[in-house]
Amino acid sequence: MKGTNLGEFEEYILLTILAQPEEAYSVGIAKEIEKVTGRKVVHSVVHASLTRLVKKGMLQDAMGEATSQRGGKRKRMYSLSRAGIVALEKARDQRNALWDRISLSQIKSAYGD
Amino acid sequence: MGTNVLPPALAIRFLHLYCKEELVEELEGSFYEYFNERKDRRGLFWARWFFWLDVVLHCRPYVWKTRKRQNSNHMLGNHLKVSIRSLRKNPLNTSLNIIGLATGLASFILINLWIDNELSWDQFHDKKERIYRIPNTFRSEAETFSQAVSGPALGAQLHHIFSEVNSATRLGRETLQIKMGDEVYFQSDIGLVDPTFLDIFSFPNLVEDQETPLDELGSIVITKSLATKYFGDENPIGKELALVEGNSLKVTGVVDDVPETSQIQFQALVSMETIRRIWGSNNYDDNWGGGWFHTYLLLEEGVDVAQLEKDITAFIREKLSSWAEQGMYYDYFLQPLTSIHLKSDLRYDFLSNGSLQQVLVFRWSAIVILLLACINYINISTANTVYRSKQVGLRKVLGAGKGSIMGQMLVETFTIVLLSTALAYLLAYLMLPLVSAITSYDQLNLFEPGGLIRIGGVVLALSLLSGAVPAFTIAKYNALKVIRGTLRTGTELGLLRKGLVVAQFIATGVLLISMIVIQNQMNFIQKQSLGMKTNEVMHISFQGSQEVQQRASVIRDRLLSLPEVRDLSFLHNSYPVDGLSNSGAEIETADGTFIRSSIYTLRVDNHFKETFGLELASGRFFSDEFPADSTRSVLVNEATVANFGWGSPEQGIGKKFGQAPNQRTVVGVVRDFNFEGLHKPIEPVRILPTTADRYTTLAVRFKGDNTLQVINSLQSAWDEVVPSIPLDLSMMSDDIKRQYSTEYNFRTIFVAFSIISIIIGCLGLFGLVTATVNQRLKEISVRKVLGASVLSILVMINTYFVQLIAIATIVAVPISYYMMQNWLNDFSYHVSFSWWYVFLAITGIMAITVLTISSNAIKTVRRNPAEVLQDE
Repeated sequence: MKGTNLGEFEEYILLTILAQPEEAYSVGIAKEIEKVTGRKVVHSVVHASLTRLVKKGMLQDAMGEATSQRGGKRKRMYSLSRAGIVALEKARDQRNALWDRISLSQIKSAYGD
Repeated sequence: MGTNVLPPALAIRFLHLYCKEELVEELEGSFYEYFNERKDRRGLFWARWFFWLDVVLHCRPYVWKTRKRQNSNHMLGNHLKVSIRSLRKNPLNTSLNIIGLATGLASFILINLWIDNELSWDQFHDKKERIYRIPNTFRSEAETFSQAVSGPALGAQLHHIFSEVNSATRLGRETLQIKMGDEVYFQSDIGLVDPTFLDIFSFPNLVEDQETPLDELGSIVITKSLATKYFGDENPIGKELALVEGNSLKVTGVVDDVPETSQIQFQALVSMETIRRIWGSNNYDDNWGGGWFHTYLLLEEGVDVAQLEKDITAFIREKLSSWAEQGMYYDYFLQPLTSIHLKSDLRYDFLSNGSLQQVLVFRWSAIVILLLACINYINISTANTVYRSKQVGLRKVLGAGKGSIMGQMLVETFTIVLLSTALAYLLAYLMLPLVSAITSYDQLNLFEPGGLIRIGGVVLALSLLSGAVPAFTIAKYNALKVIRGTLRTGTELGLLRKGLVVAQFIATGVLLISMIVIQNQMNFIQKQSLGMKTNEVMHISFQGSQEVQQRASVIRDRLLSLPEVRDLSFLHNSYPVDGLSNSGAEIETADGTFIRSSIYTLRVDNHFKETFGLELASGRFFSDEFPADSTRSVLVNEATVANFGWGSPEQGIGKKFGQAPNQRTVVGVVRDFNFEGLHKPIEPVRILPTTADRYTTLAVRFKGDNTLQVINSLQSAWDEVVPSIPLDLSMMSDDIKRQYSTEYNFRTIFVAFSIISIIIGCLGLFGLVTATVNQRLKEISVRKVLGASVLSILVMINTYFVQLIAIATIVAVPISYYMMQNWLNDFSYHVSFSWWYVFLAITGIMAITVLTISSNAIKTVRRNPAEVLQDE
């Protein structure tokens, strides 16, 4: 079970990779999540999660090109595997199933708005 | 842009250290990217700082390098088997190695045993952290000295005056005359103490019949062995011991015999007050000055010791204001109880005291000897690697890694070290009685847990240290070359081995030179004239027995009638061997004024000069013809003349001591004689006449070499006159020897060290030469075929080692010179360091070396070259 369910942070990572495949490496992902969520994202956490996701089989990795910005070092580019896409879809479905049971007007009236 | 500004190199190094290869490029790149950004945004400093932070934050397990681990445990059994095989294959080297290491280890074990004992003195007292002794430094116009003993008032009063002092006790030593039936025993080692003594100190297993066994007058606390001596198996508590004076003492407590490692030694304890009543002496408890007793204070918790020293000094100076007016002062200081044994060396200090310097010297010697043994092992094993190169080559071909080969070597070393340790303990066990005799520790325990653990650590370190070098050397071999047989492990010694041989011989040289110097100094001491006929004097102690005092003239006449006796002299606590007491006196100077000074004092009868064989520099000795001598005359030594500036011994005659009506006049000056041992220069001494009622001991000058016969004659004559008093007799020459017991022990141990180090050195040399000669076998054979003589080849082999030893001695000479100069300076009278010693040592080492090498090599060299070369 554990292997197939995504944590929130993992979900963000997978989505970010899909959203910007050309910047799908650790630093790029970290910056993007930071920008979208407004939270401080530490590189080591992103990197650890990426490695874990690769291990779970949700991501594939490959070495990309080197840039002077990176001191001539190559980056590791990530892309989603079949399992990754399945997991994302599953997460979205679970969430949607719950949203579908709620009507927006109910919430607003419940909180006196 | 900023490619010229780089992130911290050290951080990158660190990253590479922990990070596995697959990840390192990517991570470094990422950090770099952040670094560049931050540099532009927040400046270089913060960028670098964050770079570090990144590196550190990423140091997580999933990033770490994984070791490629071979399971080598299954090889352990094989390693062991192979080790034992190769050890058996090479019995000579194996035994050289084991004997060398075992000798070194055994010395190490024994020396450390001794050091542990030295460090454990007085540690058994529960309140040791709060117990201090209070000695003082005395200053007058004429002299300054520090003494271990202080005035009686300190122990009697300080705890009432200073709230920092919880309680105090004095410690003196006396001999009591105990009467059992008709027999009188001189019971020595009676501790004269205050009742608080047993509260301050924790002597083991006190059995007492009341809370404070010494409080009551007339009580005595005795040790177990004394209880057995006087009462056998009966319960001693409540029993009485009769004294010659007519009183008796009641046993109120029994303690275990005092541990060897206690500065305070006693057979029994009696309170000061009890003794004062028995002997009817005056009460001195208000006397602050002088040096009477060791005084111990039990301080309250957390007292500022330095401040207390100042307060006590100031307080007593107030009390002794009349002394201060005459220019005499006492400065008091506090010595922690546990520091006294190793650090205190004062006048009238405990003879049992050790020396911290000696402990350090021996600690380093132990380490050096162990290192020598270690070097030996390395030398012999690396020299013999040729033997095993095939084995190693084959292992490598079959896929053994460096680690496995090194493992094999380490296992082998460990096997040898373990065997050596077993042998070392056997050796140490056999040597233990000898060590006990030298060090006067009877209760040495070889198998103390703490010591065992340390030796365990040493064994492990030794294995690693001496195993590592051969292991590295062998593991480096190129497998192919070894198998093909083209490997040449240099016929010459490697630089490392050269260095090790030199180091070994430096140590040997230093020890040998030192040994020669020490030997010479000790001979010098024995031969040095002390200014007294020490070989002809016997000393009889009768502890001031009244019976002897009353019959003194009868004894004199009876003993003089013996043909063996030349003269005899009664003394009052003035045996010029143990050190003399000193007291204050007013002494006239050259210009006729008087100064107060403390001066050593001898109190003797009129025959003292003849008995001890002193010579007069001027004037006369006390004589029966001058009855006024007993109250009017005094003699001094030459040192006094010099010290008080009187000019010549003749000018000293007529100088005055003290003021009328107790004034004495100098009637003679004796030539200097050495009453304190050769450690100290001769100090001023005055000689005063004493009367029969104060006699405590007797000195007899005898004729002839048969001391046993002399003793027998003395014994029978003595028993005729005073049969109830035991004849407690010692030879003066033995008593003097005892003064140098520390030096004699030092010499014995040093000789032992030197011999051990020479043995180890020779073993190493032996093994090394065997290996070298074997490696050069072919070369030697070819030389012989070409016409070289056996002698010339021997010279060739020898030259090589002799060169190394020459280098070693050049280094050894200044080291030993420095060390021995320090040691000799401890003596006021000593031999000078002579080049002759160095010459002797070098010749000795060279002779041993050449002998070792030649005896070893000759067999090989004499082999028929045809035999050696036939399979080429």
